[in-house]
Amino acid sequence: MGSSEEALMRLGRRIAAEEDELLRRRTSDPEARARLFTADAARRARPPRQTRKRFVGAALGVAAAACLLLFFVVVQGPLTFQVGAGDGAYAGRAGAFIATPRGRMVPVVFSDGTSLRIKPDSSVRIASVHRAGGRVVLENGSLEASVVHHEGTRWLVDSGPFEILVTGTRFHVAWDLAAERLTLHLVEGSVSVSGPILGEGIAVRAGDTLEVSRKEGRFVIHRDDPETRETPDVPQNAAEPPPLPEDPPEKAPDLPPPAPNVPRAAPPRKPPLPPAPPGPSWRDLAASGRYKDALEAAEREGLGAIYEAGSAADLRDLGDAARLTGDVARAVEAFSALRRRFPADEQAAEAAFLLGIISFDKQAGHAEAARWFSTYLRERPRGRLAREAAGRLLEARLRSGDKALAREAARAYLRDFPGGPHAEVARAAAGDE
Amino acid sequence: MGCGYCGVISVGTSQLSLRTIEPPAAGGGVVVRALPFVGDDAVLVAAVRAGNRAAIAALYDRYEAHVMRTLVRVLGADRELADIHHDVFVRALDSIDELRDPGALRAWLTSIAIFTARTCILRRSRRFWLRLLPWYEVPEVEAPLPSSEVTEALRATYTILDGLPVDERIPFALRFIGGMELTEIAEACGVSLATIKRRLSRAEAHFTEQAREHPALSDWLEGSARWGAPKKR
Repeated sequence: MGSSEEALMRLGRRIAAEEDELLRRRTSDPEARARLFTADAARRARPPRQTRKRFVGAALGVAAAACLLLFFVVVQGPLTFQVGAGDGAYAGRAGAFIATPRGRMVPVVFSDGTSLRIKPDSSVRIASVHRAGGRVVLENGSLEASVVHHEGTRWLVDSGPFEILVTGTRFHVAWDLAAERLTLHLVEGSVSVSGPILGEGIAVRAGDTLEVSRKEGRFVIHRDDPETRETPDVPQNAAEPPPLPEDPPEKAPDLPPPAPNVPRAAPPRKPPLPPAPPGPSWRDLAASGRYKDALEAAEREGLGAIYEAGSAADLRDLGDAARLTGDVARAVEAFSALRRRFPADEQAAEAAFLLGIISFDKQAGHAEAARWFSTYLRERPRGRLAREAAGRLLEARLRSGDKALAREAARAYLRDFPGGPHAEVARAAAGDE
Repeated sequence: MGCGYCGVISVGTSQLSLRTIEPPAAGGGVVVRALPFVGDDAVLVAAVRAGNRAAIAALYDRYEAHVMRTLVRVLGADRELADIHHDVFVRALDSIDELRDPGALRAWLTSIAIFTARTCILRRSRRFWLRLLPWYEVPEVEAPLPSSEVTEALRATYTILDGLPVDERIPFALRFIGGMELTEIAEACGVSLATIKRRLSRAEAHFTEQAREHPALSDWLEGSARWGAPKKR
């Protein structure tokens, strides 16, 4: 053995000893065996492989290799995804912003089987997708994720300043923007969460609920088993977390769901709405997520009458139904009516934001979009959509080609949301890099 | 076979699945617990093929540490280790019917671990090239490691290994870090002994050349006299 080889062997032994020490400190994953059982059950459920003659196998192997090559070289692209369900579903694209209406849950299903259920009153952006995952930004609110594990699967869920690395699991995550509070409950698998207070990353496993309060600078992990509850780095008097947000009640398709709980008394001196035709009303249909049917029912009822006599909630619901079925013209009509008739209402401000989204995403009207985002920020500078509006304003101005206004938007963004998802773009646009 | 309240009662598909019944608790009821799987690797493989859950659990318990160690030798402290480790066992279950010599289970699992790690390395190198395309890549984050001179050497070692061709990297890691014999490496990698020798020779030359330039490794390679206590900088 030469001296070089001897030296390498010694280096290797020292490295191995260090690795063994790291492995000794490794905490075992109590769920690993259970996941293996699950994988084995799935394997056994698959149809058995058939024995083939060698030359058939070889031919198939060559064909498969050729297909794989073609797949990698030409075909394989990022995952696709669909927003919504049923007839109202539409194909999403990277960058899609989804603001769920009050009382409605919106599903997003990806081509690899991964799905999100975005809870009511939440705002989420599908920031990027690639062939084995993507990045989802939970701006505010909550979502349930069911990530299907394939080889190489990697999803990132950004919740405020926290980053959740996912390779295959089911979990609920909620980010309360105002309270700066993250709640993450793992149903299956494990994830790694990093960010302020948490540092490089901590593992959260099935049954755990992680609560992080950025304002209070503390986090706590609750285990299903109270005897194994852990409270790392948390004072003894740490507050118990509030219960996880609940699903909206499931609605049987045959039964009309309750109407939204927003008062919708028609303003005085307006003509009364025509009597609703028999069968579920457009409001019922919208409330149960059947947006296309809702829109058709609203047309039968008379869109003009709804625009003139409907409540703010009606107009928001109608606009959302149109938006979620891709009917841009009607969405614009409904949101414009909402802004005209209820200018001081919170819904009107959000309608401005959504008009901006429509201009940006559906009509490529970046200057128009910028005006709407500015309107929202002027009306609700601390509103629940303010960070997204500021980011979208920056994007819209960049795409409009107005460098001076883009720089101004970038500086405003960095001042108000220095850790936001558009911070990197903003730094580049502000000329700080 | 009874012993007071405790008795071995049975026996699923074979004599392998043993369970105990514990005495009723104060409030009534019976606790049934699986006993550790009994049997050598050949028996274990037969039971796994039959779908015996206790055997699958035993396969995992018996070899999870070995598989993890093999992966760590090849990949270092990698953030995806847990998932790759899981993939190894899934692959093993998937192809357990193809294991010709059940007595060689350990070597067979080693081979699967190596090929799974190899796939992972190749996937990452493919991603590197795909970065040229309009593609959003998830950043790799290294697992946190304690800081020490040895840890710096460890980190530097894998940094250099990351730059080697995968078919040089794996034999190098198995030989010098894993301490495996050349014949074992050849078997695990599915190539001839001569091929492994050629690859090791190239890997050794490449690694040594780069390690001598690396501040965390150069002292370790400067002669054996100072070994174990690299000079302080």
